[in-house]
Amino acid sequence: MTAAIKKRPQSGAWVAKWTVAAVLLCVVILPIISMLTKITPADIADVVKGPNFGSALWNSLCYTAIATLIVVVLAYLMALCTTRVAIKGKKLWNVILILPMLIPSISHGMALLILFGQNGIVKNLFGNTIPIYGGTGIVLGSVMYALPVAYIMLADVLRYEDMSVYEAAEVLGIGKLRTFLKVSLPYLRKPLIAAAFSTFAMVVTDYGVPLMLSGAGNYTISTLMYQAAIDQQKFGRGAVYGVILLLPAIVAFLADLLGKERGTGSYVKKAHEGSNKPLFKVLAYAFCTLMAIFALLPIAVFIFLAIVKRYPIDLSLTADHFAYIFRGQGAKYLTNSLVIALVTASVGAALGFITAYMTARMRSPLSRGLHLLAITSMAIPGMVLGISYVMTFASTPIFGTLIILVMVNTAHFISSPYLMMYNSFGKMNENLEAVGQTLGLGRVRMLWRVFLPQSFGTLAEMFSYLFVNSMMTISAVSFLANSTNKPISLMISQFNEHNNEYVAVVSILILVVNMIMKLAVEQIKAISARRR
Amino acid sequence: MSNCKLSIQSITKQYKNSKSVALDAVSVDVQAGEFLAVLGPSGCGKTTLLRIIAGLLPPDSGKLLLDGKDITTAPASKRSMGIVFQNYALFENMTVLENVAYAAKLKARRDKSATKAEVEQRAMELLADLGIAEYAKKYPSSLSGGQMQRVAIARTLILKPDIMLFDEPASALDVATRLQLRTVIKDIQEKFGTTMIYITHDQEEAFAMADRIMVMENARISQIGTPSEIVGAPANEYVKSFVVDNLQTKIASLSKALGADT
Repeated sequence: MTAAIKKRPQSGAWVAKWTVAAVLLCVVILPIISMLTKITPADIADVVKGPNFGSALWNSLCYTAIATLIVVVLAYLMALCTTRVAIKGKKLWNVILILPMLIPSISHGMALLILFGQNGIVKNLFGNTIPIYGGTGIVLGSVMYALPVAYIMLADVLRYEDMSVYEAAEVLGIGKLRTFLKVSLPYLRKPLIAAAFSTFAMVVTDYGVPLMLSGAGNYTISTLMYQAAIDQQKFGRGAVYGVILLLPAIVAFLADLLGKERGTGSYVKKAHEGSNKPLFKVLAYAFCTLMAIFALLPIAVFIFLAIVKRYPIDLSLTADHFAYIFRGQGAKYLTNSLVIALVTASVGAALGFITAYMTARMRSPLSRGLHLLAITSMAIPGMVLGISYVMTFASTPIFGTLIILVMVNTAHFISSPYLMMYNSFGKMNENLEAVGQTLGLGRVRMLWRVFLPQSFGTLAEMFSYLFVNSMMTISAVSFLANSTNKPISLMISQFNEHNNEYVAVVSILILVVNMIMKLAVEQIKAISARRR
Repeated sequence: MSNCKLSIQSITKQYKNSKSVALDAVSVDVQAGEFLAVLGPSGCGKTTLLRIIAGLLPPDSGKLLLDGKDITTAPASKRSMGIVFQNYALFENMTVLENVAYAAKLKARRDKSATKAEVEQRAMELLADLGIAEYAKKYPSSLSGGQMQRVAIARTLILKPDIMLFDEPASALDVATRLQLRTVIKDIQEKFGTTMIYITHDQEEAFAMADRIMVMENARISQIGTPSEIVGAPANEYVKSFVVDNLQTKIASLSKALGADT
């Protein structure tokens, strides 16, 4: 006797998943589609026939390719130093090497100007300087702010490489070079490609550095887009440039997607202790010191400029520049930034948590679609998202308010924190729901009393990621801000070489706020780790 | 059968993306207070069967009767069954005591059957029964595998389940701990008279613990019987090689070692 068994309805889960999917569709996908539909053939013709289009395209490709190559090589060497050599103070090195991530790209561009520009510090000290305008400066600035991201990616991969493979190779009598070629490189191939692609996407879509350093005629696609959309308010043309920038970002996204093996539960049987060879240690210290100087240089310059009266005329200490910024709109814009960053971090962390729970712990065909939707925003450059928001929401009441800035930042930055939580949920015991069901603990209760408390560390990390990025972003927000809802990072482009002490003050403010957030999160993580 | 606790009737299951069936019309009656071991290699369908019994997975067809009542579509929480997994699945954010008492406290609050203190006291008694009372205030991450498995057992026991289900609970433990856990589980069966269904791929474990053994292969039951019945008359070539020959190899190697000793 066989009677067909009816499945218990799961309508609650279905509704919840569709609700989240609808939210993500509205903030990420629909604006892009709406932007694409508003591009006219005339816009395309205007862009392609523009006098600087060809050279800008070439510049973008060249500068980005060179910067990417430099970034990947330096990041790999840095990661080798901190994961494979027994140097002291690894934590401190790590902190210093990632500091440049905490200030906007445009600050790096400005720092280079202050150092090497025609009226810069180097010129003053030595009477001569390197030609910083154009390719050299753009590549250098791009390397400065993209390096920490690639470094974190590669250091993570190296840290979790299982060393027992190397022991096995040694026991089998396989030579060092052969081991490197046959073990290290294949293991690193995918991470290196992923790091290269995401660096490329990050650099090619940035306008901060080239805006400061392009000088006369060195246009890139991103600066042309900035000109068209922000200076000339020609959004259709801006959108065409946006589509061009979208292409490498999508390629990077797909490369990353294919590069990641499913379930990165790679279990480290044996971690690397770090080489103790004196030669390696000397080299590692030397290289790390060099990179630390490179990382700290812009920050040191900003601190110096921010506290002296007027470089190089009057070097007496002063707080005037801070006072000036706060007397003007600085206090208001800093408050805007803090509100945007805090709300984005809260909303984004909550959305990322719920979405990750649905995709990692309530598997169904729908959750696979939801997963794709949640990581799609990684493929959309901030500038493109920003212009799509202008073209979609310009006539709605949220336009020109803080709400739209929170929305665009959440949409822009949701993917990484979502993935953090997704991976964290993936590592939690797969039988927890089954235990909950047999013990009579419902989904909501399990979520609230078991999954949430176990996720505090990850949630803090997500919060900090969203906060820091919202504080320093200049991409999407630049299209959506006006004099009332402007975040402080956008003040930088108001100033120029002649009042760069204000750029210094603003950059330092952003850096300090972000450092406080990072420190607070480290504390929270340490406390929640100690409790277990 | 008068003493039948759980009647499994012609349960069939096929996973969506799979060509072969996971369970092919499996039927068995489990007696009250019985210890039934389900023995088979990985992929034979034994875990699927356990999940269907627990209500974690709906069968495609067939029936489950608990004390004569149809529970085929009843939710897991209404089946009066507890489940213990190989990887413990403890709540890592709670202490040992909270792990054990949490579900029972909620249940007691719902049907106003006991106070919080009473539940906690019962949890402490269970922890003492299982020899882990001293760890009550500790978090799971500081316990050994054997201790964690005892916590998992206490967590299901406190709800006084009619049937306890074990999904290879000893597979992740070292040999000495595994032997201790056997005693713990058999003691519970004796003390509480709980019906137990125990999934394992370890022939020796099945023979040491079970009242009856159900040998499975490829989604079907090969043979059900007491250990001596199975050794005495293996139903087919598979049972003979997978169960009987395997045990004899072990016995032979052991007696060889012992013989060399004397």
